[in-house]
Amino acid sequence: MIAERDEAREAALTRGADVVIVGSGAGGSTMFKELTAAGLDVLLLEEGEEQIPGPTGYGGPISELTAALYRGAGVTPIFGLPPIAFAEGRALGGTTEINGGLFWRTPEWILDDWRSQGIPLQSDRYDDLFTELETGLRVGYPALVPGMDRDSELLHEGAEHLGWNVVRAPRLIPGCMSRNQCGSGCASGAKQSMSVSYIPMGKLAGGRVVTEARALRVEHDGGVARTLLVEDGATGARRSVPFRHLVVAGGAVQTPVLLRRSRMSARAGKRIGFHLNAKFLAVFPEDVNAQNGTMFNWQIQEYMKQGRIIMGTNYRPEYVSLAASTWTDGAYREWVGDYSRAALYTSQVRPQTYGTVMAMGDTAVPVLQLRRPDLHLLELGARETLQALFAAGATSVALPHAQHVVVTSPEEGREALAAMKTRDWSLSSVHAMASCSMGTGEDAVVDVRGRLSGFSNVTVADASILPSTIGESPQGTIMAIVTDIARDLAERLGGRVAAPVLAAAR
Amino acid sequence: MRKTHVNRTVARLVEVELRPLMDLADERAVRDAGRYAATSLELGGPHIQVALKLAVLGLDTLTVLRLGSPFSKARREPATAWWNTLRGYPGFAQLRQLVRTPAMLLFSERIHIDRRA
Repeated sequence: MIAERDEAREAALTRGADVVIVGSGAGGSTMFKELTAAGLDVLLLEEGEEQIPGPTGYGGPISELTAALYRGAGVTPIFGLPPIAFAEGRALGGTTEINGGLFWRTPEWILDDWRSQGIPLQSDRYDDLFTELETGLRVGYPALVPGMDRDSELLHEGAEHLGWNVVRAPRLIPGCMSRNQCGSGCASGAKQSMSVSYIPMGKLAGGRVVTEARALRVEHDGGVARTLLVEDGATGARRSVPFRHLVVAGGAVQTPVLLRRSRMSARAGKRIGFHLNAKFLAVFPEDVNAQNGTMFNWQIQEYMKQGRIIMGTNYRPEYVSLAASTWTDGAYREWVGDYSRAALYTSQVRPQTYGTVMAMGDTAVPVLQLRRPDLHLLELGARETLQALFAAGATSVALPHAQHVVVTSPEEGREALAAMKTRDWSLSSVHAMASCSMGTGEDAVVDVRGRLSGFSNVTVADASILPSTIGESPQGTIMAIVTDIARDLAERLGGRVAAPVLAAAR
Repeated sequence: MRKTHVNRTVARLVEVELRPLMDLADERAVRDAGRYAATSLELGGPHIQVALKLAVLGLDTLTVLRLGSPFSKARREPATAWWNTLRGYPGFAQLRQLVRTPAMLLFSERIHIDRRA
């Protein structure tokens, strides 16, 4: 059985395909599904392993799932002051295996901004595309079950009390069983991550998948990519994989490093955008039992256009550990005592400052140095989160502070936040984008069809091509734009296609 | 976990950090957290390892000057007291956070909490 599998891997890598796709996250898998549906010969390569969630989802301890599903076992900081914990998936399905399954449409003001940069997005067709994706992925609003999701309800109550705009969050988790484990692989089998949706569809249409295959370098000459040098993680052997067309979809952090390492784009990764998350542990006078339920049910969007949103997040001891890494022993004990009355919330901000992706050997090293406007944004987001939580009845809230600072009122919080120095912020990020931005100018890394500048047969198709950060979970935007690009590519390669949204750019 | 000097130091740091909380779980949880942290940091990549090696070098240098042996080989009580004085300083505070983040994940998984409510 193992010998057969190895032979199949060997054959797949040696033979190559008409189209080889690097990366199986939201972008790569969308390409895989679309190109195979168009009848093309497609090989999808994934650096991580195929974890194969069981019929009821991912099981086992969170620590093991973290090591199996996250790049670098979750230890992949963004360097800078302060260092920022960054997470991305490294398994079949990429980050879609470990995200919250949010599926937002691109905010209209972001589209307006992109249009002002010359990106020819057509609203009505873009909307149609989203409708198609939402239907196919069964995007909806998880049922609010009495006795569950009290943490989300409290956030909703706090926002209502303040008269703030608070909305239900659309997610691709039909039949969610509220196991509260979204960030470690869905334990219900409900989340339509790529490993259970688009990748099986692509396989059914004849596509092939090889996991544990790490793309090292693209061989090219004269503006034409020829082969992809791949390291077979199962054997350690290196193979040159031939193709007619190459799609790079390793994500906003990995893709630019592959392009730079291959000397295909000097501009790739010179600029990268992140959303930043600041976590707040709130304690309420009543039992909240935040471990019962899912996350993200409600989202406060009162200050979304200003780059700030607030939501509840998964609550389990393992997920509190990130915040607890800087706590004192006493603070940790206090939280254990308050476990059933506590809940975890996130203020997500869209900083103005962009970072860069450096390469250290084969390793991508993201770097971001926050500036004063970003710190101001974080402070405002934190103030608003405290307002909402205390309006919801919280008795105390632990700030995202490296020294574990607890406040008992918005006013006390305001003072504590004003005194915070840059290094005091305890931050994380799960959204990276815009490192190979599309554009119409000569300095764009890719054009509006995702075609890599200077190459006739290379397309980039992941979060890296977004022109900017978007202030919301980017999965929907990535999949919509890549679907459109994929249909255009399929037509160019001789497949069947639907009408494109970016028609004007042809 | 590979038996390297850096990994032994990471395991020792985790032991020193989590021993005061051991009553919330058990001794095995502390030991496993040390191994898990060392393994996770190895998987983090060469840039993490470089940063970690530099931090361990700094810690060992100061510990040799103070206690006469590298941190991983120093006796537990003086090593704990020494680490408690160092861990707030720039560089060591980041080392503490880096090591504790994966360690706390596993430790928090094992603590005795009534999650049935």
